[in-house]
Amino acid sequence: MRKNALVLLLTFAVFSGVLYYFAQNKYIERLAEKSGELFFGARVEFDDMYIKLFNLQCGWRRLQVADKIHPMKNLIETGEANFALEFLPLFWGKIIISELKLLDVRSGTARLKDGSLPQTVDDDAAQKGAFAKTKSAIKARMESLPALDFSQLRQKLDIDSLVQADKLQSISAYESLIGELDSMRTATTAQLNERKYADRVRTLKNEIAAVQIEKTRDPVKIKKTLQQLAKIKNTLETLQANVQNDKSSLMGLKLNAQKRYANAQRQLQADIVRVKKMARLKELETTDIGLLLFGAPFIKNAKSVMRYIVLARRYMPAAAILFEAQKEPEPQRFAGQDIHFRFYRKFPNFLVRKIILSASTGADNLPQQHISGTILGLTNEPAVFGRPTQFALKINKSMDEIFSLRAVFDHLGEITADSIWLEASAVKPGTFSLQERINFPTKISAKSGSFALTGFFTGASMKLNLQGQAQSVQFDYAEVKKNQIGKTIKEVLDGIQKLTIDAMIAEKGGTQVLRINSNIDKALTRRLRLILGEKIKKARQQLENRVRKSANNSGEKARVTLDQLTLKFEHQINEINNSIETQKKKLSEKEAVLKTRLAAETAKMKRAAEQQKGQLEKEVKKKLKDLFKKP
Amino acid sequence: MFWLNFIIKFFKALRTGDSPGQVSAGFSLGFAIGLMPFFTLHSLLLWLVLLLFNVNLAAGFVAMMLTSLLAVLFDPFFHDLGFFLLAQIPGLHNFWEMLYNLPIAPLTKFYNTVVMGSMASALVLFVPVYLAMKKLVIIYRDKFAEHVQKLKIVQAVKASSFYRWIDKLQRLGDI
Repeated sequence: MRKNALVLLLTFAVFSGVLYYFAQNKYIERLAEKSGELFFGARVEFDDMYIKLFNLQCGWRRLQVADKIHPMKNLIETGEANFALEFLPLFWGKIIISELKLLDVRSGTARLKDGSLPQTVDDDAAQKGAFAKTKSAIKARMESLPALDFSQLRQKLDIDSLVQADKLQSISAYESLIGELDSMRTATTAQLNERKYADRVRTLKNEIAAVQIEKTRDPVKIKKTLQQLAKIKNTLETLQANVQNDKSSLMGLKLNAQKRYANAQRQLQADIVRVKKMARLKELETTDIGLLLFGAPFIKNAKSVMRYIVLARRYMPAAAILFEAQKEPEPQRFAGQDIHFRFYRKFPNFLVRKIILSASTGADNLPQQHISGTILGLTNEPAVFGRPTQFALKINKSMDEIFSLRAVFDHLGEITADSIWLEASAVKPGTFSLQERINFPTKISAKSGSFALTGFFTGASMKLNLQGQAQSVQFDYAEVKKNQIGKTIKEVLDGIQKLTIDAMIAEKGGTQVLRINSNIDKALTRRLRLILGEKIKKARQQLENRVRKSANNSGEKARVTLDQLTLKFEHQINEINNSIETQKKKLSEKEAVLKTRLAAETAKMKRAAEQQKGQLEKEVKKKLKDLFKKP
Repeated sequence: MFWLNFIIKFFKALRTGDSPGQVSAGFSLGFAIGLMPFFTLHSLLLWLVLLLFNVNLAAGFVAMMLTSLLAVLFDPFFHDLGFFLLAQIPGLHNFWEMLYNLPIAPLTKFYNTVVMGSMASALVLFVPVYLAMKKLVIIYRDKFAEHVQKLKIVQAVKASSFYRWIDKLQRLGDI
């Protein structure tokens, strides 16, 4: 054993230990701050962070996380925190904390220094995807709600721009059809002219007339004439086949034009629907009332819930970035390949098994809310840990007013499934602003109430449901309306003491649903329909007539052009066909005469030959008898 | 300068001083350390053995220097060998899996193909290198040491002011 070397090594170890003791905390503090900044996108500051190697205790005196949007405020500020790292996972480089107590957590506290970082990350990136689609669908749904205002109704109906002829799809369709029919006329006329059917029929007619059949008796000549007639007949049949082809082609064009015309008529119906929609003259539905009254505050709150969900979802992958920054440098030599074997231990790269929260929210001068709760299984590798992250928070605004929030973030598989449950009892809702709509209240206030919000976010689909009730409800109006609608709405709403709401926002497979039902819906719809029904019906009819009138000229012109055109060409073709048939008939007559004559002449010739033959036989017999007579 | 010092010491050790066994043990340890990647647990343990046990340090450092330079050339071979041992022998899978799940073993980075290949090579070559080096030292001492000392070039080097200066430094810094 080399004693000197042992002494040297021990000296080196002690010296390294002393150096580490004085320098490590600052180094680790900065490392933790940088990792935190990567996640939060704003300044993160630990005060007096420490790690004790002997018992693996860590902690800090104070932690501030700046608010990205308001950099002069803290998103979170905590007081002292102490926690212990688990020893065994460190062998595999895994950081696992059994229990982390975060006491005196506050939010919205003022900062001395600006907490913003240079902008590098796209802020809106997390807002894209399913939530963005849902937002735009909600916006479209809110815009499609009926306008319950007569003055606006009349104004809209009087505006010519609503029924602009150049924007009506049906007129464009009719005009396009007329243009096409004109081209068809030109093309067909040219085609018929080119074929010169009349001239060709006339020539054949002359040829048929020129065939003389009266004087011909000679069968040979008759046969020749018949051959000549057969040739003309062939030409006539070819001509007729050409005419039939042209007729079929013309019928095809006619059918197509008729289809286009029917399509233009459907466009007219679509125009009527579109213009009615633009004028927002849809029938008042029971489902519209809830949206008209409570749509705006519900959507505002739902958006903020969605924003928090997006933020929480971002945490899981973001934690990976934290460790990305601490990757080992590649070995200088050829790096080789790591062969990873099955790992039985459920040690994710980063895990806090349990966080105990005790917090007070609200800025320094505002009344504070007390939050207490636990977070279980906060990790950047949920699939390795094998259990979803669970949140359970209780928020006490006062002795009675209690909010309880539970959330489960299940990122174990390929499709994430996150759920939240927020329940509140004995809350004092206070006053909410409603969207400013003519004849509707602008504010709603209630003295007490309770609600339950559930949200399920599976992959890209989501379902957010709110059920709530409020007592001693009161509606406030910006101005007192004297018209019938305003009066009716006020009358119905003034009679409401207890309000119950059932609202839902859902997105599944690209279909978005926004629904708000309340106990006011049916009564208010019935009353408003009585007033609005007839007027809306009349206004809708007025609009329809207007659209029809605008499209009428073009439509009529298209119809007449179509009829005339088809009639004209059909007539022309039929005429040619008829004259061909006439010539064919004449030709057949001549042919029949010639054939009969040929048969008669042939028979006559046969008879003459028979007679001659008989006579010759007699003469031969006589000569033979004379020959054998005795002299 | 540090390395030059060890080279001179190594040549001295070949001639006289430590026993052939000490010189060859130091050389073999240095050879194993040089063959393997530096930042692994077993590499650190070999360092401790080299420093703490009574083996020839200079031989160890010289061997380490030489094999470190040569090992770079053999890395593709180590990778192939490591891959074969880790992935292509099904009978060993359970053993590697058990090691992988033990607390200390992953610090050796045995699951890396180059680490495994070089470690296996070092294990296999350790004893032959030890025996060969021991034999070499004995033969050198018996047959060549005196001849080498009498070589004009060696005497010229020894007579140079540079050598004297190095020697002085060596005496001052000797442990």
